[in-house]
Amino acid sequence: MNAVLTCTKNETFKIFSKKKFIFLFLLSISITVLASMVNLLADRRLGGPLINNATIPVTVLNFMSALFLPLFILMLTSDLFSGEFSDNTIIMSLVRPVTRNKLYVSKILAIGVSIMCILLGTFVISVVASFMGGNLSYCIDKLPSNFMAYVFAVVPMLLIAIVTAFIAQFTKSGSLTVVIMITVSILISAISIIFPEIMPFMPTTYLSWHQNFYSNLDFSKIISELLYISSYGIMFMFAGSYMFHQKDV
Amino acid sequence: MENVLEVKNLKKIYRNGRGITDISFDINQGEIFGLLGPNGSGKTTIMKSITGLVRPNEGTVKICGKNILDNFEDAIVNVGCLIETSSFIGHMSCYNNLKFISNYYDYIDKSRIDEVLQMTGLAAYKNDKVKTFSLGMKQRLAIAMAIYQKPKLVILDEPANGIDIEGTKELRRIVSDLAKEFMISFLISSHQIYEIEMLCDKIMILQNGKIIDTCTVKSIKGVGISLEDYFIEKMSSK
Repeated sequence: MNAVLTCTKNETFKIFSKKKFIFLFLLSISITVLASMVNLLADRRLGGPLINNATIPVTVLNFMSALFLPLFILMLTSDLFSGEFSDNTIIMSLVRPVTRNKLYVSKILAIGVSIMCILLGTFVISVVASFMGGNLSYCIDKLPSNFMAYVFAVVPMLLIAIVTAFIAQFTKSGSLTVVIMITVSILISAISIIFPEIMPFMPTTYLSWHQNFYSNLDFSKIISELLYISSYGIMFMFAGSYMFHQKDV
Repeated sequence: MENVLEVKNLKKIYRNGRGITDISFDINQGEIFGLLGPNGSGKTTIMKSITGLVRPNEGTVKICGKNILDNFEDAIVNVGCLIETSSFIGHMSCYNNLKFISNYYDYIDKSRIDEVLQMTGLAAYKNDKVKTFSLGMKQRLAIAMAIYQKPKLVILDEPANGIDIEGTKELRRIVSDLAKEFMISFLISSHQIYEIEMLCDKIMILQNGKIIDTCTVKSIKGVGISLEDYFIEKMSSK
């Protein structure tokens, strides 16, 4: 356990020291600030806001989890796996007193920590922005559910990281992993449109799982969807870590 | 003397049919062991198998009595290595790269970072980003990272690559001092026969993934020929 913690700390440090991460973190905060500024301007110039200020956290989270975060995770995960194999930096971690399985788990955990930091940073900014627009009591009312949605948004995002890490075991190029993941997600979406009956079995269906926390909590739906996410997560995690363990450097 | 490394019947064949077969040797505490052979003879594969970077098809590797496949963490903790190209995070400083690996060895005081930087002549560049380093400086950093945890065995694959004449001499001094003072064992591969001759106690000559000879440098010198001539003679006889 100690080795996993040390390794997670190291991998997180590695992610945080990347310019790419700092840029994306600032970008996610800028998106929130920009959205609230546009809304304020619309309120003053057009006589009313484009969206209810109290829903800014929800709007921002929907945008981020649908497009921004998945792309960020694809880049980050492919960097940490295929990228490190292609530039040989993986050797630096592989010859240390930590098994490959622990290293694999640590990398995934570090990605989770990074996503959580981005989500919490965005949450704080978006809540401040929503407070600025008035309707304070509604904003405060929504605060716990919005907070839960932001925290739990890390779960489907981790599934993307786990699947990407699995795909990364087949490639030695970070960009190829990203291309494969995008192609696979487009194919899954197309198949789901042609055969809607298989949609419940597709991992992409549950990427908006956190939206269940926006309003009344339907626990049976939350748990059943979480079970689907966990099943896919466990399958890809085992397959990925097995391949990582067997891989020659 | 304590046996630090024990390699028995090691076999690793890659998909292209190349690799190593029937490799067996031991390294004792404080011994400097050299691997000699032409390109593709299997030197790096042996080193990668010892450090668990590749999984051998057959055979066992024991480091301080611990099997690398069954007991990886306990075995590798005794090993420091520089294999193929040096590996570090380019956008981080020299000091931070060492700090990064120091987290894996929490029983070692962080002052060791400055100690190894001093030993490898990098103290003046500790805050410089590694991506700005020359090949020789990167190689020095890799050596600093290999010896950080005070390992019992250090594996160096072509350590003098990119290092200038003064640096090579300094490297030789570091290796001999560590072997003599701290009884650290070394497994070194090099194309520069002179390096091996100056440094090593024992050598193993490889060709096409097989051992063609294992002997002590002293015994070759005793015959009155240079290691270079001995190596060429062995190569042409096979």
